[in-house]
Amino acid sequence: MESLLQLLINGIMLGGIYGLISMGLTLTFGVMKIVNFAHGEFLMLGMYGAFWLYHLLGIQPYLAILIMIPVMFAFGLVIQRGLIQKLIDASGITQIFVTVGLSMALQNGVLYLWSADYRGVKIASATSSITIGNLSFSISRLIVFTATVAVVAFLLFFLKKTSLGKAMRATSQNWRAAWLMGVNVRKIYLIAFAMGSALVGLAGCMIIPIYSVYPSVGINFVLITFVVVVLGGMGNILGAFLAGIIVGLVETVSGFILAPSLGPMVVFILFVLILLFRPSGLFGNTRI
Amino acid sequence: MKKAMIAAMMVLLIQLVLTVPAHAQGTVKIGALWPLSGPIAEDGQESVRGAKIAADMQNDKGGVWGKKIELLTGDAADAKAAMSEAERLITVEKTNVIMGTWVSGFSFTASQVAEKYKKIYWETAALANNIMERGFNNLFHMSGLSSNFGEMSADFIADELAKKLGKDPKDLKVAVVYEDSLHGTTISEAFLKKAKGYGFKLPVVETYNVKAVDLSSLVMKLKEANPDVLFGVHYFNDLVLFWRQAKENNFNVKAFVSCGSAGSPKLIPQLGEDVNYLFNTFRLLGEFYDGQYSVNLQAFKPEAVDDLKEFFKRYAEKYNVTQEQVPNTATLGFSGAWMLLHHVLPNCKSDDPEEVRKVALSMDLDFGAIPHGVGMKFAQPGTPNQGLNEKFVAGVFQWQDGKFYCVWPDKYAVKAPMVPMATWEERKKK
Repeated sequence: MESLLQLLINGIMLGGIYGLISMGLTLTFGVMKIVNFAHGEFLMLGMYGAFWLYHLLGIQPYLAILIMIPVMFAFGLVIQRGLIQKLIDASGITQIFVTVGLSMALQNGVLYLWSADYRGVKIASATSSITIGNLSFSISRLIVFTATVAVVAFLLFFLKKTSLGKAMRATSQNWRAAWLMGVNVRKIYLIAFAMGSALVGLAGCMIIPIYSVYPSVGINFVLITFVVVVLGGMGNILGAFLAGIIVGLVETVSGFILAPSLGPMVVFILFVLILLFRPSGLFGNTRI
Repeated sequence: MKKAMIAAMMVLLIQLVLTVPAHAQGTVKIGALWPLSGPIAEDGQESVRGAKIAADMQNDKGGVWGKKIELLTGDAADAKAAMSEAERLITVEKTNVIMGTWVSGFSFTASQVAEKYKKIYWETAALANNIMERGFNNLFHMSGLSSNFGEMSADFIADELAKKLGKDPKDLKVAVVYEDSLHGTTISEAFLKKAKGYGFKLPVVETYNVKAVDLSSLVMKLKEANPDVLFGVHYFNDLVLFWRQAKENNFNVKAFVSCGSAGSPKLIPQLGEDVNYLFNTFRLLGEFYDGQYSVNLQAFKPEAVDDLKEFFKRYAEKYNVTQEQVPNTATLGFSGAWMLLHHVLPNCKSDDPEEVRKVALSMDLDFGAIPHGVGMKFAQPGTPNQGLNEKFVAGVFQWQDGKFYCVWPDKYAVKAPMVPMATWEERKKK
């Protein structure tokens, strides 16, 4: 029983990580309908940013978000203007190839610059945990989970209540109609992509106390992030958050009951089944 | 015009005179094939540094046959590049002997090329058993295969840990976890075979993928099984994740014996004091802490100790680091190259592959004759694993106070193993 409770806690915490990483992708996909295959590499850059800020300047990763969010926002602006905007009308295949190419370029560029070494940040909170009865709560994971909830709340508020957010939703629902109503669609795309990039930069800072960073680290996360985004309904913020938790729970619980090596397999079987029977994801394609 | 012609001829003549002695003197060209770019470049470069110091040291002793040894490097960035670089070193650079390659997959392909051309391939480090199972005639291997380390870990648990824990090996609960690539599987299979022989109870035998981003279900499984000892094979990143999650979920075990990255000094920045108590079964490659080597050098032959010290001195001077900072990849590169350049080649009449092969096969140096503690006696043609160094020893090391000491076998140990491991609760109080 205790183990089961602990597993549920671990699963939910893991889901928080998945949810946080997929927020940026959900937003960009929701608005622009472009799947950014370099999303994992954006995460990697965020993690490196947090690592270097800690290593060179002694800035705690949780404070580094103040620097990394604007930096990754600016990076997103550049990539969007230089590359992604040109792909808006291209075929899906072209979009995939270009973003995969971007991911390769980023990986190898970083490999060249900073070598393949595993780099991590060891801060006191990273491995300590709070114990309640026999249940432990990892502090670093609790922090990530809190951040995820905060990001979801912020995005929901932003999209529902601000005029920029409303314009984003309008663009997402029908860009032509939005354009005719006077929404500057190009600008919306630019901001949405940069926000997605900033969000994954935030995720990078939040998870660096848990995971080491190295040039290909993004690959480990990006596949599961796609699963979360698709299950969540491709562009549904709340859906992605809940899907993240479901994936985390399925992975830890099935890993425990069956075998740890089978956890990810169960997740992907579930993924295939849901795509077969509910192609628009668990929570429907409500759009952002 | 005539004057210009004469001047030009003079210049040519001078050039000829200047270059002739270099050619006449000549060098002995040896290939040094390690990954110099790509993800594993750092280990490859360190290996080459070690090998170069071996060549320098032998050259200072007069080289071989009155000639200097010249190392020609090749970049085995991946399995394919290893092949083409081996081909280049043999056909273009005309080397008869190639040393390498650190990564098993790269060694596997590069040694195939050497075998095709009947040139010597001198493997100093790669672990995979299948490299030596092909029965190649010209392939020599210096320092232990995956299965050696798995078997040795089982011996350590049965001989030493069981005693320390006051249990009969048959009553010992040993959990086994390993990453599911060839590396983890080969070591663990060898471990399990021995473990069954000793009669360990094996409540958990689990694998996981090295790219996993969460190992908490594995940790919870271990926690439920409550083993006395944990045996694991990991790479670096997954070990860090696993051990962090073990701590987060308060999983305690009396001893954790690992085979793989648990000896890397790079663990310190990531795990801090949590690294203490971890055991790692590894080659006898120590570190100098305040001038004291972390393997007992009394068990080595005096000549090997001198060679080892000379290597550390030269490395520290050449690369401007302290002796503590000399990475053991470099030590292994040095020691493996030293076996060829100092022990084998000077006994040969030339670097003709057949001659080198004959002399290598006739070598018989006792344990401790080589700077990483091994001896040198290669399995003869027709026997399994031909070309493998049969006089191989390894040791079990443990992190104590952030330093990595050999703790077993007694002969090589400088510290006693600390068992049982402090619980996370006890560590917190410290």
